[in-house]
Amino acid sequence: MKAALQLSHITKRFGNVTANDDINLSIEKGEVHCILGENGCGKTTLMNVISGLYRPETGEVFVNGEKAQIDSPRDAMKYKIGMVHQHFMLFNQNTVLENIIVGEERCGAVLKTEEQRKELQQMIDKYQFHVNLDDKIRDLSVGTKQRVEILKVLYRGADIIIFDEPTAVLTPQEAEHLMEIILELKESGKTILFISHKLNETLKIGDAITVLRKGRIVYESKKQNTTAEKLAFEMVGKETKFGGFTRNEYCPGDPVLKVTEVGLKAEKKPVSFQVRAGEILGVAGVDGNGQQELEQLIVGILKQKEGRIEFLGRDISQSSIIERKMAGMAYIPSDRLEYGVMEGESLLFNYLLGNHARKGFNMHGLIQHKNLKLYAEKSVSEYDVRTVEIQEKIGNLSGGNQQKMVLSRELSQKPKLIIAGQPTRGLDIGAIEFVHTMLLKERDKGNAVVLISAELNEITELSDRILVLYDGEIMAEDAADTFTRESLGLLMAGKRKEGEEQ
Amino acid sequence: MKEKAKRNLKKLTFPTVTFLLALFISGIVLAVMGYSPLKAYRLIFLGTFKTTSTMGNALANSIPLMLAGLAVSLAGKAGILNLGVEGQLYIGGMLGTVCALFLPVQNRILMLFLVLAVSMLGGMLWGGIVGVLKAKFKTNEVVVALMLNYVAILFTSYLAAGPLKDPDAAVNQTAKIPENARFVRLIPRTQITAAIFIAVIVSVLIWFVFQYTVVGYKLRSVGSNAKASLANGIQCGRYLILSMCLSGAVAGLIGSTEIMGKYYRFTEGFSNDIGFTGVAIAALAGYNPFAVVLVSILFGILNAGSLTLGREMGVSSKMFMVMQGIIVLFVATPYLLELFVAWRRKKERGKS
Repeated sequence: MKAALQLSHITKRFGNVTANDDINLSIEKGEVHCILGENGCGKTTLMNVISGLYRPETGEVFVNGEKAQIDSPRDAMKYKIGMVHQHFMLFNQNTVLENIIVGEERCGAVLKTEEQRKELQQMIDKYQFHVNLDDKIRDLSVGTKQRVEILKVLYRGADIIIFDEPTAVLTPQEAEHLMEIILELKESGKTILFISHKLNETLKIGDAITVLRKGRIVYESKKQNTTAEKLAFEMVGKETKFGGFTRNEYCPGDPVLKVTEVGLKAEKKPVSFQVRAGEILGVAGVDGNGQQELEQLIVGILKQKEGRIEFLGRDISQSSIIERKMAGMAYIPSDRLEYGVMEGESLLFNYLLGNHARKGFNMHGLIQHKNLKLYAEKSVSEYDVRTVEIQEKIGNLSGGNQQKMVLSRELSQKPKLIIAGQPTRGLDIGAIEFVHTMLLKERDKGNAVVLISAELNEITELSDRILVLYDGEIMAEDAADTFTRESLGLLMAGKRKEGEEQ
Repeated sequence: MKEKAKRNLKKLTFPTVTFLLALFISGIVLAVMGYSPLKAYRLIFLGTFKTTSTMGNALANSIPLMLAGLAVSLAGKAGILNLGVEGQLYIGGMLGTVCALFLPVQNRILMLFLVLAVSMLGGMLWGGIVGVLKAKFKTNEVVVALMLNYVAILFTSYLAAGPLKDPDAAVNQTAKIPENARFVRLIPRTQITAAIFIAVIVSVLIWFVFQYTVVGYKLRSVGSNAKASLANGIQCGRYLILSMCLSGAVAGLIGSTEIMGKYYRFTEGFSNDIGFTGVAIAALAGYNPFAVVLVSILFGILNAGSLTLGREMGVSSKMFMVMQGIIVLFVATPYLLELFVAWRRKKERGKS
């Protein structure tokens, strides 16, 4: 039998980054094929190639055995390929019905929707979508919006449906419902491409599983021939078994940062903790459980409504961002592109950001260009930022090099406290190791580090103490070696050990 | 250094191509209307360099355009599209005129200084409103600025038609400002005045501020990425307001320099959309203050040339507006150019 969709030698580059490297993939008709991989491994790029949003440098796509020329999403639809995007593309002011039939209206002078309404209602009943055609999109829950997206794709006659990280935005119950829908779709003969970085759900619904790592296919298997351990191993690769780091003995000094009764989320218990000199405090937790609030409160981007934050023994609750920076607080934001760098500006320009108040660079309001260039060039080479020249636009660099640039900017000013939010997200192995080494170096120098990360490996490898955040509250806080991966996983999911009081 | 030269060359490509394309398409328009585009362009460019007076008038035409382009660029660097230059220049012009008419100052230097300062202050306030509203209430700066333009234009018209009207004049205008509030003409039989120095000084100042001062750095940071600026301790709202105030001040200067150098009185509707031409100039110049000066001179030549065209060939002087419109279209939609390039590539690929 011919494969429903076949990719042959697909390569897609962005500048000097190869997002997809010689991908060969064959998807059987009527199966649920999962593409598994960590953030930044090239999953979404590959799907965008298939759905016509990106054009690959080399390679061909075959649909039902025939070569397909897909240059736009419209072309993809011609080949009956539809994509359910991670971010919904719906008109909030309009009804479900209007959203689905837009572009497909059947009408003479006036819109005649009765016929289309009937067809859609049949579809909704068949797959048990629980969607009311007359609801306005803005009133719907995230899960329902997603079902509208699926309906849209189905209504346009898609036989091959791509789901891009569909459960990322859903509650567990909604995810459950989605799984049922996907199995239902498979029953009715549709071919499903399911992209995810979550092991469990791929094992649950996938017939075949392909693992992508750093843009390459590293592993392919039918579900029955594989295990969760095997998949996890392939996904992260053996290189990510970090460690081998040498570190000084743990002998913490005075408290550097003291957070007392500061609320992260409305109506949740406020958090209190402290970080001492010469230690790394790992803040573990699934994204969206208060981490961003925490980092932004410490740095001063968010105004604190209650409690007290002390830095080096001084109450900084009312201090401005720049005062905190000048006092020795370094910040590596979790959202690098939004809060960390200015993509359209040069490395030099970016290096000055946040350092613009420092004496060496700012004399009576004038920028000390000579000094600035000297320092920037020195720390850019010290931190191994690969760039042709200091005037290069930072947006032209890879994520890893951008992050190294942020590190060089923040760490070269001899901070006492480093707030590192998801510092290795989206980076390649080399850059990850570099970031880890630098953070450990700061700790060994006697500085305090707050490492906020969703990567368990990172937390367990680097931290001296670990704090687990769940839903804006602290679930647990203790020395790193008292936790196991399993216990951390449970805490991150909001489950305390049995017998422990809530 | 070689890299730098390359970069600069690259920067020049886009505006040059845009400008030539605009000339080309305007040429088609001319041809369709039955005029010879080649003859027309020869008339525009050669006509300008015929005598000192034609050259001088082209240059005089470009002075307010420079200031307008600079005002738009200044705000643009801080990430705001200032479409309110038109209104700001009317407010500045009116306040400057009032100051010249009613202040009993004899000293010429003091008078000139006062009129310029007051007009800057007027533009600053008018632009500042836009900035404050955006910073405090997140209103859309384009809508607010455009609406304020109407308020400014109509309010100054009212003043020129009512309380301040020159009773002897048929049109709505104020009385002439006193001799000591007027600029001296630098070259006889042209309208070139000290205003040209003001424009050049403003452009150098803007360059200096953005190149060498921390305030300029902060302004540009806010325009480049407001969130990252915030995270690094730059108070975005404050710098947003500042950029609109500075931009408005430059716009206010247009009003006073035009009146002090050309008209000697406030006449209803004297600007004729200088503020909007400034947007086209700033966009074509990529917000570079020196490029603004050059592009303005080019626009001044076109503007003066289109008048010559009207005289010699009977082409409507609105031709200038057509050209300007086409330029704005291309600058505003680099996508059109990209599309063109992609189409060419596809065609080449098809051949091979």
